[in-house]
Amino acid sequence: MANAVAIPASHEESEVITKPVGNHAAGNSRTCDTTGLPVCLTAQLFIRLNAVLGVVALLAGGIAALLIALTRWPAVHLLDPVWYYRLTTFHGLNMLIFWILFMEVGILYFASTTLLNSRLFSKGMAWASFVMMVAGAVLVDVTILGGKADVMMTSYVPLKAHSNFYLGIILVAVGTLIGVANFFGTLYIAKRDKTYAGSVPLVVFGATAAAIIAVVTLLHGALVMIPTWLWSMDILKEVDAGWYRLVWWGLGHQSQQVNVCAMVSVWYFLATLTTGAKPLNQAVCRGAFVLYILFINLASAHHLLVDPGVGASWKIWNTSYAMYLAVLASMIHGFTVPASVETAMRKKGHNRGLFGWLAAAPWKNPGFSAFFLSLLIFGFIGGITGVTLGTQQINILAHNTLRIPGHFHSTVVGGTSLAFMGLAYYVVPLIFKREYYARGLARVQPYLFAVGIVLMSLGMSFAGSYGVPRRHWDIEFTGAQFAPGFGSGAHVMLGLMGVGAVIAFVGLLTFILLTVAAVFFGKKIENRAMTPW
Amino acid sequence: MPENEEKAAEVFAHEHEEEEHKTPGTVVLTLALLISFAVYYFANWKALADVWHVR
Amino acid sequence: MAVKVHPIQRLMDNPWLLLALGIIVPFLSYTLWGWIDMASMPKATLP
Repeated sequence: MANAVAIPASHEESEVITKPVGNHAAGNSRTCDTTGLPVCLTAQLFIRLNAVLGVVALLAGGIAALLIALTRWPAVHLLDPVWYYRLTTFHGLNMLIFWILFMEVGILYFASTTLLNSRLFSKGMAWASFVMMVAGAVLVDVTILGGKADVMMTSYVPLKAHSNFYLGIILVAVGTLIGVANFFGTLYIAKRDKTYAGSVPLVVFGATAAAIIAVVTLLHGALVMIPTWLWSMDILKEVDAGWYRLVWWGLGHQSQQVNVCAMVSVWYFLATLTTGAKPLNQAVCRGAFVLYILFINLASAHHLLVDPGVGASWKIWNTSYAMYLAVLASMIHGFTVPASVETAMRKKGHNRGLFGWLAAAPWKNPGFSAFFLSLLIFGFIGGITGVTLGTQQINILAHNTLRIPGHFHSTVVGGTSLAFMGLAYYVVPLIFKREYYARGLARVQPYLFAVGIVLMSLGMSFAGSYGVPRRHWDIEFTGAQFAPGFGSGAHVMLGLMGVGAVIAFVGLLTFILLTVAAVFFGKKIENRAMTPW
Repeated sequence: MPENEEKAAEVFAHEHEEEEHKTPGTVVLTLALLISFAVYYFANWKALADVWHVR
Repeated sequence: MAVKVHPIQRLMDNPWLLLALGIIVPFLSYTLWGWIDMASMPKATLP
């Protein structure tokens, strides 16, 4: 990779390079004092904007999360049914779609510019993407909170929301697609302008895999949302319920595969930043990403395992045989990421016993602890439950029970969100160039969030094993003729879920307050490296 | 990042140069994962067998 | 003399080919096959 040369300048951006470097125009790049990596200033602007909006969506979704959890905890049962379903819709979209997609577009811009020493392909496309995503997200949120879209995140037809709800989702999807196209454009100009030599770094390769999966996801989103939008305005007579479920899950689950891919790339990146680790074997790691590209999207089929419209061959092929190739990829990353950390730590002399390297790892660095806890939670809880629930025969035990949210909160929240929080502890000092306050609290935050999410996820999973349904306002069936039959065991587990949710919310709020304080009021980092964690 | 370490840019620039490595700790960690999976998977098949009698 | 690059390495260095495969494989296996299954489902007979 060609290294840019920093020339000090008397400019607001202290390390701005005043002559053209690589394919950067003069004055449009800087060299990071901490990492030595080149930063495109246009990309930096949009990484900042996307990160800020991501955190806003995280806060909105997080508040809804607490209120929903306190409703599902029968001892509290906080909200009335209307607001329970309204906020569940709101929570799903803000957390699973908006927080994640804003962060991912930021990650794509970062990976394709900084790690390839390139400028961003198009500033106009970045603006178009950002404005559409913000407009869409605001439209969706306003429509939901206005009581015109109590249809849950999945919005299964024939449940009908106000047309603005579907329009908002289409805007977010198209905006994200433009962001992804900007990423591919940047890959193109970086190669054309020879800003790097040989193959792209592994993190960029992982980001490319995430971007490819995002394209498939967003095409499915357009395919399902445009007819549904027309139907909501009575232009189209009907949308077939089975067809909708098939195509919608091509959006709904595949978007979570974008998360997986982006999260794994963030693991590799944080492993490098926090321990100096480098990939053990490029061919194996990249091969695993290719398996994701080819096979991970088929996993969406497990949502349809009890649907009558698709046959057993389709179900078993997509959720088992082909899907296991993507599981293999996750197991490869689950080995190579900690192994690269072990190798790096052993090289530094931490060779005592089997786990001396792990004990000596930088656990006080929130970038490391968030990444490693994310790896453990994703693998041990998310991965194991995911493969089990995705098995056609076992699925019948768990379908539509709380075991399902128990699984995906350990993948998307304990895995992806926690990894993205770890990333933020570097993005703020390196891209926003601001120091965090209350660093002691920041060191504790990943643990607090991880403990909360683990308790909540296990509580949900075990309550689901007792048969407690998902998305249900009142499992006590207050006033019904018959008792529902959930014993004390289920109630203990729902209590565990509630306590975990409160702890996780405190962890989330701590993260947001620390990050907002740092971004807007943090000590500026000029002409020096960030204070090491 | 501690001051005595390589800058990230240097690690990325040399990431294709693979080295000898021994990772016994990670092998044990991943075996623990596989055993946990086997136990959970078996327990689920057992639970299914308990409620779904084949006659 | 040009260095001979392994075909799999060439695949990995070609994001456009990966993009095409990444769209085609899930579309055929999940979406199109699913549509065919749904379209070939016989209509339920009313009692």
